[in-house]
Amino acid sequence: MSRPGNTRALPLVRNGCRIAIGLTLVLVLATVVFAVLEHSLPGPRWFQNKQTVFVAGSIGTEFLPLPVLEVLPDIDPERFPPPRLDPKTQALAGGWIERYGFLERRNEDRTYPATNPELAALLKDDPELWPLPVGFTLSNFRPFSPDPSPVRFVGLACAGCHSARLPDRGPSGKLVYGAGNSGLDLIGFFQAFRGVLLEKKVKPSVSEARRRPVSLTEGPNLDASDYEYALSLSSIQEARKKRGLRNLTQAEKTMIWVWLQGAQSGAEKTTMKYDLPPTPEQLRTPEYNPVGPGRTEPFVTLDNEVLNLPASHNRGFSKIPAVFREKDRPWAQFDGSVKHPNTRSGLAAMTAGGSVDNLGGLGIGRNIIDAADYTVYELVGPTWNDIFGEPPAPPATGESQANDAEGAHLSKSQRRGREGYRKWCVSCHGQPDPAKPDTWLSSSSPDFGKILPAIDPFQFPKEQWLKDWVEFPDQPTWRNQATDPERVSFRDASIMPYTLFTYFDRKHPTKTTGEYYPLDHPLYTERQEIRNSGGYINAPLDSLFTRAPYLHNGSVPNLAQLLNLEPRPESFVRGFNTYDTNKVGLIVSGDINSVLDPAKVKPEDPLVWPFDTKAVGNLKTGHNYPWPPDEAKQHVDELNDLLQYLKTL
Amino acid sequence: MTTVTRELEPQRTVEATTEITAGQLCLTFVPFGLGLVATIWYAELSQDLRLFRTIYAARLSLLLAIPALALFPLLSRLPDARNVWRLFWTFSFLAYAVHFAYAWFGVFGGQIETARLHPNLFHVPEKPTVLDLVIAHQGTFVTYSNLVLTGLWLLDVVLAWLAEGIQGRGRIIVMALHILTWLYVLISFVIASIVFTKNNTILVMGWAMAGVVALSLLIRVFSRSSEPTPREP
Repeated sequence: MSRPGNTRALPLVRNGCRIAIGLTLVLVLATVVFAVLEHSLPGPRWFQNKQTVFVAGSIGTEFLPLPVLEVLPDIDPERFPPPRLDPKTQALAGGWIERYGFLERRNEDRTYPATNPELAALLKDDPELWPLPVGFTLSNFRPFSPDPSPVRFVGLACAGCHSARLPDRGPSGKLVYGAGNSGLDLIGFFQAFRGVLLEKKVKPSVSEARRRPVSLTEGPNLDASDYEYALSLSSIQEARKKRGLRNLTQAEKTMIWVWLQGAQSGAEKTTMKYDLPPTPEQLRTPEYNPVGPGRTEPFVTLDNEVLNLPASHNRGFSKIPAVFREKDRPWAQFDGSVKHPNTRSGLAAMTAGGSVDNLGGLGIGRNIIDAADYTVYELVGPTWNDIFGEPPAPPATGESQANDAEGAHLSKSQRRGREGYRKWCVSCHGQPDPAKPDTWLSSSSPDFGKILPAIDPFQFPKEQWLKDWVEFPDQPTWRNQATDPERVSFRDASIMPYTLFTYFDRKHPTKTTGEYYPLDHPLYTERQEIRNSGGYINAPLDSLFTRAPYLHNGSVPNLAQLLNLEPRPESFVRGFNTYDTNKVGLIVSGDINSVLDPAKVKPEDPLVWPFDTKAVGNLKTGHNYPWPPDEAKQHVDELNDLLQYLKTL
Repeated sequence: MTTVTRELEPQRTVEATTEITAGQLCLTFVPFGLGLVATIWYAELSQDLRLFRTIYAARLSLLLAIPALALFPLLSRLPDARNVWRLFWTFSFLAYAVHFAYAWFGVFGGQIETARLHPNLFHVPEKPTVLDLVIAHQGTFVTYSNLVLTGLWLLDVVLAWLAEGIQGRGRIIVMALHILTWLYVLISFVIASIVFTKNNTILVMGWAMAGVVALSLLIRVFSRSSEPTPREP
């Protein structure tokens, strides 16, 4: 027996079902079409030459869509002063590129090592990539993701930090891949980028009356809803229109809108952790930008990302290092904390904006491995002759020359310096193999690759010392050599290695994101291959003259000062320093009062930054070798000879 | 649509005799379709589309398998549920196929270029195939077990639609295959979700599946068989 109510309801239900099925079918079909289109977007670019990867390959640091970068100077000229298009090179120069210390492209026919044809063709054939500074990449990866995007994103390749013009960035400077860029204000650049993302302006709809400050000491009475982001899809489109740049496609607009939502909400959420970004003026001061040019704060980034801490106390600064001939380094980093080159490169990429997700992704993971391989097996630093076109001194002639085939290229002074080097330096740093210029000998150097402790080893019984520590007979001897400890003794240093291990270890039971990685993550490392060494590793000194300023924190401008031939300055001015071929290093002014008030400089002026060696993390102390300053005065000739020899490495 | 007439055979038969109704399709296709849409789009919020589409498709497959796995033991008690079982079973398999395709071609296939350059890093032989990569990650047993599962489930779904009215020895073989596949899929999902326990979400789903299937088996054991009524002369 049927019920009348049911008879009426049944067709309704049936129709409802049909509508639901139809709508679902439409949704499914639309989604399938979307997925197919999405997967047809450009994927990873595979490069055959590892130098190409090092210079222009994505390592997961994509941070900004190219169409946005093109108009960033129009939207925020204070943080991103407009560069000019050099008519000779057709590359961007000056403006934000010079302000933050990036290297503008030049029509260089000489780089070191020579640019391979694949890279040359890539730069030549990509009219969007060429104008960008050296080491910038363009890819179709989304930020923090290996997924495809319809709009090209800008990122930094390894060469973005690890390339420099030597001896300096003057007109004759030669582009050297792998050298640390001692003028790069990387932290300032990314802080400025955060600033652009978070910059807000009062909405046009707010009346003039409400915009007025209520007093000299107070701003206007405006709510959060009265403001809007200065960087928005409409402001981007408007700026592009004003500049006569092409209109964005619908897909590009959608991607940029999605990126803006994620980037701005992400930046808002993390202000609790990072605080608001400094103003352009503040970024020129050590109070707000304690890192300065040519350095990074790697553990701040890792504290931020891995431990989710603000790490505002962290002063573990690190010079942007040269990455030549890494095969000769048993452990990477200044503190010898990472063994596997892939992990080292991955962590470096992470500190420049990569994420645990995209570093494991398609294309990017391979680039990390290839770039690491390049620094390990291929990239060799230049000699003095490669940069200056002549040896540091003419070779000696005469009888002594005939008896010294190994030193045929050395002057008399350099030969004496070589003997000094063998007496004082070889046991820790090893030496070049005279028979094979690209080989560094360390087998007869007992302390090579060992850690010179920066934390006081004498606070522990000697049997507890780490086996890789250089042994010292007493505390004063150790203290004489120990350098600034901040990089290895910051608050979370003791938990960092295990945390990094678990962060990237897919098999670990307490893992979080790592659990999803179906294949070993490029950052994956064995637990015993990541450590807090407690000090700094005795490393090879190849291409030593390219590694200025010296010590891990860049606190000693030149080699003469490092050898205590000259007093190390208490404070000095950093920025675009020119090169001193006599003292082997940077020419710096000791007059930090000459640094202009940041409020009085133009936005496009390069960073001029006072380096105070008394500040935490900036200590210039340690490495009083072969002699401490007082004793060094009695060995000036020997030290001068040593300095001359060091130029030849 | 398949039409199966309900008949009283000399031996007991349990097939439903109805064609698929809009309600049955709505009940099964809509969750599948919306789940698939969610799988594709929700992964956009992640930082690895291929990987998370693989993960979400596996979850969708498991969710859709729950009713299918629970209904199967009760088909002799609930002959009208046969269509719903077949539909859930099919859509669950289709979601699994999406999972399999993204895993094979996206996650593992996407790494093949890199693995060929650096086979030692991936613990695979020189000139590796996607299968080598999967084995390196999952192990030989799990990999081949998954491949068998994929083939078996596909065959089972096809038979569920095409071998409906088959009689005699063929019917016994088909029924045996249904039981084997049911067991294989159930055990695979239990191992993937509860034993491997990759995260809490899949663990909860796994236990939910185990609970519902256990309940279904209990009902099957303790309920009276609904013998078909003899046709009126």
